[in-house]
Amino acid sequence: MDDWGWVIAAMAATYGSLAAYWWSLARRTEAAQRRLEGL
Amino acid sequence: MAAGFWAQAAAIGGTELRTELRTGEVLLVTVPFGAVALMLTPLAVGVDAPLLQRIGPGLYWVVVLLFGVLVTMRASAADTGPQRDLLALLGVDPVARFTGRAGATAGLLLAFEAVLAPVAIALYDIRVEGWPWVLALLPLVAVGLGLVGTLAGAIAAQQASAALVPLLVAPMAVPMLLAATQVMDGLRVDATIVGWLLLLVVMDLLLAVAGVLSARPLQEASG
Amino acid sequence: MKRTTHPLDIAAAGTLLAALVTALVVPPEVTQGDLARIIFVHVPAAWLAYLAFIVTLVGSVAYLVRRNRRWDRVAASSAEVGVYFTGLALVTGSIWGKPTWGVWWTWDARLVLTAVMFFVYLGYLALRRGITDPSARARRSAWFGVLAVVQIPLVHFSVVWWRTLHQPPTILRPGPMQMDAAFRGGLVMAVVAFTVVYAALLRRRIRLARLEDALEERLGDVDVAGADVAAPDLTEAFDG
Repeated sequence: MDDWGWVIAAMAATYGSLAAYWWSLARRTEAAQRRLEGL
Repeated sequence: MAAGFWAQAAAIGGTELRTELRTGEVLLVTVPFGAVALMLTPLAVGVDAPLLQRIGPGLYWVVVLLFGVLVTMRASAADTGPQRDLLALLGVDPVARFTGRAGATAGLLLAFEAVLAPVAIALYDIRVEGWPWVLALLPLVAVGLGLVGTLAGAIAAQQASAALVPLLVAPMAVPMLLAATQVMDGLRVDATIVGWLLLLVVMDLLLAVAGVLSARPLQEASG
Repeated sequence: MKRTTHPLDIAAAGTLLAALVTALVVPPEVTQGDLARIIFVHVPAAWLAYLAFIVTLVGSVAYLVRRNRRWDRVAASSAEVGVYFTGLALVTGSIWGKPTWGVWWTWDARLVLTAVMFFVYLGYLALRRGITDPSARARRSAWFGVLAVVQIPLVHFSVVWWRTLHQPPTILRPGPMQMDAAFRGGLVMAVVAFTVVYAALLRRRIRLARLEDALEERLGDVDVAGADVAAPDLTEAFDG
């Protein structure tokens, strides 16, 4: 794999995982909010 | 009115997997522990790249087998006497219970192996030859270890101290360890590996039969 | 369904985008070429791993002193975000290391220390998962947070000493990087951008922690189903 391939891999890993973590936080927050409002 | 055998097994296995999802004991505790074990060895024996490459695969399988036993134990700890009795009262087939539990354990062990593999490859710079065969090794060992661990857990039952089940399992893990390491070695030097793979399959089958035959007697013994 | 977008979130997204663009368009570095662009994500991740660790320490000490659950939430939230960034630092470091040195991992002191930190974080999170009583959880994880940090200098010095005793044979590695002004500027911006992202993530994670604490309080102790169930004791009937 050429240099740019590695760079893209690193960027994809970084930004992809950031998005995934952000999304998971949003989902968990939503779920907690819903449960709290349901009480 | 008890449900069908496979439905019972699936229900029990599913419950265990869902519990794991909630407590995260395998993923959050046992996997990191195994990874730390892999990390400690080079600190101890020295960072000699050829040496590490040579011992890497063997060390991976040792960690999988010894630390994997902890994965099989997590269920036994959660399965208290009253809950076991309740299942018996409900008419749950002990064989189905064994199958469900062994299946869930094998699944968790497979995940355990899968997460530790890239860690081992990175730390020891392992060059893997014959990927498809190695990929076949993972479930074979996972099933075998899951069966042995579940069996040992059922036999030890209330007597289970922290190290008892690992002690019971370790000797029985020898054929699995030899088979796994010899397959990986064999793939590297282009030797025949079919015999070792067959050994693993036979072992898994024997363990499954033993588990099925002993499920009911063991449950009655502990009642 | 409330969708709240905080100014911090927008700042994070904006600076992150700018950092990404910069990383891609900046002229390649002299010694390592295009490969060096990976440091635009690796260095910030590593910096944040340490920052998050410090925040966890501060939160832990503050909780032990003040006993205010808010500090416990800060410590725990920073630990979770920190695990993420430490893992990211290790992964991006590997992705950079493979083409640069030919191996996914080297045993230099800083890498080993980062790996140790990763496991310490994980242990902290695992510890919290295991304790259901909120104040006990806060107290014990705070003590663990302090204990872990006390250990870190010991770990650091022992590993550095070990490395100096066993110098590896000189392997073919490219020399240290020579960064021109543009490259260095890009790196600074990347660090700033990721710090804003950390702040945004931390804020959201603390909010989640607050919700979960409130839920816990309202729900009280919920027994695991079946824990109170006992089979009828028939032994007397049969022995008698």
